[in-house]
Amino acid sequence: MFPMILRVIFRSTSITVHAGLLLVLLMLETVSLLLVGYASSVLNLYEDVIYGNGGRGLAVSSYALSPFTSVIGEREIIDLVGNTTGVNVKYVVFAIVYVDDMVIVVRGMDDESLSSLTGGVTLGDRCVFISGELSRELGIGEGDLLPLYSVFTHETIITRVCRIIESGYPYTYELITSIDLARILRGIGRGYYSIALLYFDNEDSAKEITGKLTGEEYKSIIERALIYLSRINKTVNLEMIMDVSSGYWARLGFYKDSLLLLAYVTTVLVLLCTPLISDALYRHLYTTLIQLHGIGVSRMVITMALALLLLFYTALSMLLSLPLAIWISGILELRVFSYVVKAHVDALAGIYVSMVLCALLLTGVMGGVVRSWGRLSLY
Amino acid sequence: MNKLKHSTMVLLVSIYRHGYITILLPALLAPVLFSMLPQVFASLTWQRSLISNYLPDNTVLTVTTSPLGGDCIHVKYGLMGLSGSGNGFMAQYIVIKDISMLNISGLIIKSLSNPCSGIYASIPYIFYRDHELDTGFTALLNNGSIGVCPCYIHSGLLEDTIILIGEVDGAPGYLCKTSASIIVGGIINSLVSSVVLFMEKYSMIILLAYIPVLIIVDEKILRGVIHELRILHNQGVGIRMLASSFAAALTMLSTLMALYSYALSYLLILLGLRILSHYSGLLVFSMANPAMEPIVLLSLIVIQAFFSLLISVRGMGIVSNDSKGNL
Repeated sequence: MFPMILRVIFRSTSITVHAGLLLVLLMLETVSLLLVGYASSVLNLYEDVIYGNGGRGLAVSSYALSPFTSVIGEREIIDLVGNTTGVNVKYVVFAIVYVDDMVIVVRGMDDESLSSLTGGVTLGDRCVFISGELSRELGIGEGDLLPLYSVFTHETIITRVCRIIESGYPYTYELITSIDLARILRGIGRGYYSIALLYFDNEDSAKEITGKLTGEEYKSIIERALIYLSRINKTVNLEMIMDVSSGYWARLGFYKDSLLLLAYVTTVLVLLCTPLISDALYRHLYTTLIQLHGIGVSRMVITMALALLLLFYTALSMLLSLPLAIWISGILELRVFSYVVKAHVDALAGIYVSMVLCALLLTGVMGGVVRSWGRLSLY
Repeated sequence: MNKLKHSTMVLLVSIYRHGYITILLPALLAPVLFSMLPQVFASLTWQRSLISNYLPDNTVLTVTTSPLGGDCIHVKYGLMGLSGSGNGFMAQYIVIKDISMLNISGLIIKSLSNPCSGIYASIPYIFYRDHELDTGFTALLNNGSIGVCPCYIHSGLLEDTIILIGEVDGAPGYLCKTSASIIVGGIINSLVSSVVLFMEKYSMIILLAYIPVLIIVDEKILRGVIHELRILHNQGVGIRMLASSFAAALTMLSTLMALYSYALSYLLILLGLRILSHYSGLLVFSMANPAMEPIVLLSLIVIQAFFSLLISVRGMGIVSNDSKGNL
């Protein structure tokens, strides 16, 4: 009986109406997904920059506004690690340079990391690696000279593009070089770095380090976390933050979670018009619904069938909007420093948007149903 | 003309009395609000004190591949291999025709009169101090080696750069004299403008996504005032005039609602910024004037006028058929 009612309601209107409704929902869902996705990507940018192509570990930074402005001393890291065994330390130096109206981030890596990224090629003096995408944007090729104006030292350093590499995000949008050259651009001396990444061979070494930091028993395996080093009266204070990006956002005076929440709330605003759409659908199906009620189908069953129809529309438009949002985010360029940020469209955002959409669509239909109760009509 | 005025007024009052203003608001608020976001981002920036820390107002010389501002001279630039007091190292150079072209007082701190042969040069003070390059030396370039004879020592600017005076091979470029604050200001502006550009594109997508919603709203309003339209038609108002009146009435109300949404969005955003400013110490000041905001607002009104006219033509068909039926 119920599937038959659904079929009657579904067939009572033309395919154009179904397609139109699906299109409207698809567009609204895509726009909402993009909003949440871009907010999430921008808010997590620093985390992506620090960890590069994935990976996990403790990031150690100074009490700075961003990884680009952080400066830490090797001495402090040695003191932090102490006698703990099974801890691997990787240092990174970031610098921001200006090249022909473009702001580009330079990443200085140790020889081992560079070698693994570039496939065993070693760097000469003044060499930088660049991705194909960035080289096309700057109009330079292998062997060309590239003058970099350092924002930190206010000096121009002439470098040579030694190789064009194909590296993943975020390296695609950076200039990769040795730690020494990055230090010159950053204006810091030997023994200083921007960020240190501590990787653990086993859980015990992680326990030992985190025990030193928090003074508590190690409770969970560390995925990613940030340690802020701040110097107060010649003593180095350590502060551990479990969400890497939120630490830097907090230094700027923002709460990352609040900003993310704001993006989610704004999504509701974008979808606020959806009750009008479901109300229009209800009005469109009104005659059919009266007829169904006339042949003895209860009001409850009709309302449930309508709700199920809307659920179907929401699910279908969500399935289509996920790839569409990813495709649009490839075209819609959001550039932060040299990074082209793409919307991080995940299942959680999809579920949230679908739920809001579905709730608002049901509100519209229920409005129509309740209004019809007040009328003389049977339905 | 009087009939047009009369029917427009009747429809205006009818739409208002039926309460359709409330359904116009959710259809217009989101596009208007998002069209304002670029302006908001342009107004919101880092703390002024933080910016001023990064804005030293000293003169800098920068080598670029395209001119940066007006005060630039053509140079050639490149890298050279040198053998200093210790191991060999890589140094950068620029080539100019005459040292007076630099035109910066205090740059040359010492003139040297060593007897040496080769191309004249000014070396940075650090090279003089650390590598003892004040006597003649040989520099290894891409296409061979040249003898360099230092005759000046410079300091303060171009501290990593050897200035060669004469004709030497190198990549063509510009040496531009500018202020560090202009470059850093340019960096902040490029960051802000790229985000503003993104937001403008996003607001256009929102506008596109809302076109079907506007059509649905227009149709709902048309159905709501169909009774009034019939009465007006029976009073002798022509179908075309009715269509125009409906479109005019809806456009007028939409304009009012768009302006109301604009004011509402402005107040909401202003309130949000005040709260942010209060709790995070951010200062709000204007940096750029995005152009898309009035365009989006205008497009919204034009789109609404167009679709209300389109919908009204359909509605008039219904009214016309009803009249024929009555006859």
